[in-house]
Amino acid sequence: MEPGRISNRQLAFLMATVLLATVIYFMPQVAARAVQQDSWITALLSTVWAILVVLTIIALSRRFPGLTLIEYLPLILGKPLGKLLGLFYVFWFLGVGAFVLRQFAMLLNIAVMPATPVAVFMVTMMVLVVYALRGGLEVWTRVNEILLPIIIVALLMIMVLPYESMDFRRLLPVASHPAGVLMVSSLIGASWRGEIFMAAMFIPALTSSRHTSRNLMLMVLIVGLILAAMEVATVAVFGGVNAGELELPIFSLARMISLAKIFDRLEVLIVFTWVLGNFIKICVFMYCSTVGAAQVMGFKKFDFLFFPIAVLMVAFGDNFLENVADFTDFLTHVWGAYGLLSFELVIPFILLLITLIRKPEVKRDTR
Amino acid sequence: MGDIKCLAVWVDGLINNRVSHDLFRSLMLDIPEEKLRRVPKPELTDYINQHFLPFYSTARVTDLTELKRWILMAKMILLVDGCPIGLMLDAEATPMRGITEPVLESVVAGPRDSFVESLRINTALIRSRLGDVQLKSENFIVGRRSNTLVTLMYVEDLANPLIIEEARQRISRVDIDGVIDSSYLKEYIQDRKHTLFPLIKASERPDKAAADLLEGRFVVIVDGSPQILIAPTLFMEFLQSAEDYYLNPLVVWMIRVLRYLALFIATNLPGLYVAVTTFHQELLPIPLVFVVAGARETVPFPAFVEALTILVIFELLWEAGIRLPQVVGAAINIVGALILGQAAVQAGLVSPAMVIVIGATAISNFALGSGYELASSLRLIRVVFLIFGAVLGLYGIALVFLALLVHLAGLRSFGVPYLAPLAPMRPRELKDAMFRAPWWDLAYRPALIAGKDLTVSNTAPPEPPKTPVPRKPEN
Repeated sequence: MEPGRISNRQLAFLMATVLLATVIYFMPQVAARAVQQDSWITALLSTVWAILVVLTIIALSRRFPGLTLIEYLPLILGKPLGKLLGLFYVFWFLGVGAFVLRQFAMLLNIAVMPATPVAVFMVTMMVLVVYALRGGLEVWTRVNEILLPIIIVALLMIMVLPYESMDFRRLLPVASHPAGVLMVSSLIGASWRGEIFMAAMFIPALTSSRHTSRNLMLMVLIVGLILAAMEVATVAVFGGVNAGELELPIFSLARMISLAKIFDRLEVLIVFTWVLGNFIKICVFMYCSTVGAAQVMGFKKFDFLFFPIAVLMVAFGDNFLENVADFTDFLTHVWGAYGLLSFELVIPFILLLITLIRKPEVKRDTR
Repeated sequence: MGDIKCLAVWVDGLINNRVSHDLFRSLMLDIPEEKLRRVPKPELTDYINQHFLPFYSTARVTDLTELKRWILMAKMILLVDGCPIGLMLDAEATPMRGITEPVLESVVAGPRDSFVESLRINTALIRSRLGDVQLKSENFIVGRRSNTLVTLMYVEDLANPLIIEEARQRISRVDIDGVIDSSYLKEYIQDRKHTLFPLIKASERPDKAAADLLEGRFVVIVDGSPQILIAPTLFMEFLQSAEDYYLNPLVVWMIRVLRYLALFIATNLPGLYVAVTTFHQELLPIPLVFVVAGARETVPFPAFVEALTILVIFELLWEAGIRLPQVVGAAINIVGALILGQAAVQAGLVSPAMVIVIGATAISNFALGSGYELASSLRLIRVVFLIFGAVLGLYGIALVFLALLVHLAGLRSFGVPYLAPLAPMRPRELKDAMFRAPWWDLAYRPALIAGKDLTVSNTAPPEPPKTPVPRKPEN
């Protein structure tokens, strides 16, 4: 049903932006709160979880070539149950998309323009996202190919430039926490990283299925390294305990930068990458919700769903969270279970097991 | 010719007089009458054609409408009484100017000829650079009333046959009254109805046309227009100049970085300035805040109004500068520099910082390489950035940037994505597009544009000789 075709590289880039767009802003703080100076280890550990997700999704997609997650759910579970689970997935995309939209707007509101209502950011961004989606999958994945290098360069600058304030002795002692604690703390980060399972909605649109899993895993690894480096930088500058208490460590990191008395307000750079990254991220969630909804309901086209789903997403986002406290509450208590432990890894994994045991007949797609 | 009546038809002024004189002399004096008598009347034209007109390019015409059209297209027609066939003689001598230096795409190094209004001379300028048997040209006649000759040129084994076929179809689909300039055709054959960006490159440089043909592109030449069309076109090309390929690659790399900066300044600077001074003063270093705020103290308008006013005045100056006769041009300079620059600042109507900002924008606008077309579309984009920067601050600028990217990524030129090789990313082609690698390193043609043959050169890069070159001993 998706007329556009994207390459493996484009898919990997897309997923990299999805992962980098938000996780890098919150993870250093969340992880440092749990395990202080060992936060970078959790970044590496959550990479393992993300790779598991990739393997599961790729294995499922291999059994059902040319079909998206929503399309092969009924084939595995039978029609009623599969459609129901598909509906849950659509609501997951919609809900988490709304959450991303809200957090995008909230950060802008707090950090840049406190006098502007959150709804302004949400509505304008959604208008832009719908404009991009109407151009087609090919178009906004191409946009992402330009945005991702900008985002990565900006992040590297934030990481490297505060070198004057860094003291790597703050990273000691290494791995002082028991393995169990580290593992548990990696789950929250892994929930963000597990968003890569949305690749299952894009795999049928690939021009060739060669190297898909290799590319995705490589990408997960690189994102993991960037994340770990960012956490090392945060801890090296602020120390493990302080890093956990900062509101947004990456902003504080950017404030430490002062080069030649001119580049001393690089927060604006972060805000810029925040807008760019979240644009793509919301595009991905919107795309998955619309395509998913169309497939659950059995429509051949999905363009007409953009408007209603955009309205829904903005409405959800507007009512999702009241304030920052709600927001951190959701991240620390709900997100791990709602993400990795159910929709991202566990359910797909169970689906894979069922597929291996029952071997449902595959309706070959003739494209 | 004795008792055989002939009629020669032409439009006065479009025909070379020498040819008509030659024709009449051979018809009236050189042909022995007794020979003509022996030829049956219906074959008379062919006979004359074969035996007495050896030096002219000729063609037989049987159709009356075709005949009329040839007359109007600056050809000479010879009709012989009793013979059903007309004879077309190419003796075209349309009035034209000579080959001059390019006006819009001037360079310091490299060839200095430019296309003229005559199609024949233009094709000759290209052919003299590309002596390839595979260089093909196809003729079309476009325009119901203007009957303009349009030539499509491409190198057959380099170009992508699908793109060429598409071009052929798009050109032959055009049905309008007249094609006065190549830009008429451009709007009919581009891929998108509405866009600010030039999807087909217009050029007046034969060297550029030849180089683009070698990359597998095609060229459309319209008779009467000194601007030829080159497609498929990529966005990056508007940030390149023909000279880039004649200078030292390292220097060119620096120049290109400057051009990216110029593109950024030309589109963003007014918007950024307004956004930062209105919403985010905290982003400026403190000494700078004082400077800007102090300069703005006497200005009675908000920064947005100030910026918009100066921008509009700059556009007016630009437009006036183009349209005015050269003799009054100096007056405009004085008015622009003195009255606007000096007096407005002194009166406190405009802050000096804003004059600097708009000045930098104006300069950058023309430092884009070969992009006069791009420069003229950037005028509007600049205003959009300005409006959103004034309404939503830096966030508004980010929004416009993203919307612009989405629009650009959606454009195609004859099926080739406009933002290639950036998106879709093609690292191998980036070394020609982003910075200019030395010629020996540019061994491949752009794969999205060209057909099968992608190899440009098989030459190894230059190497210093391992053993020193033997020299004659001195004395």
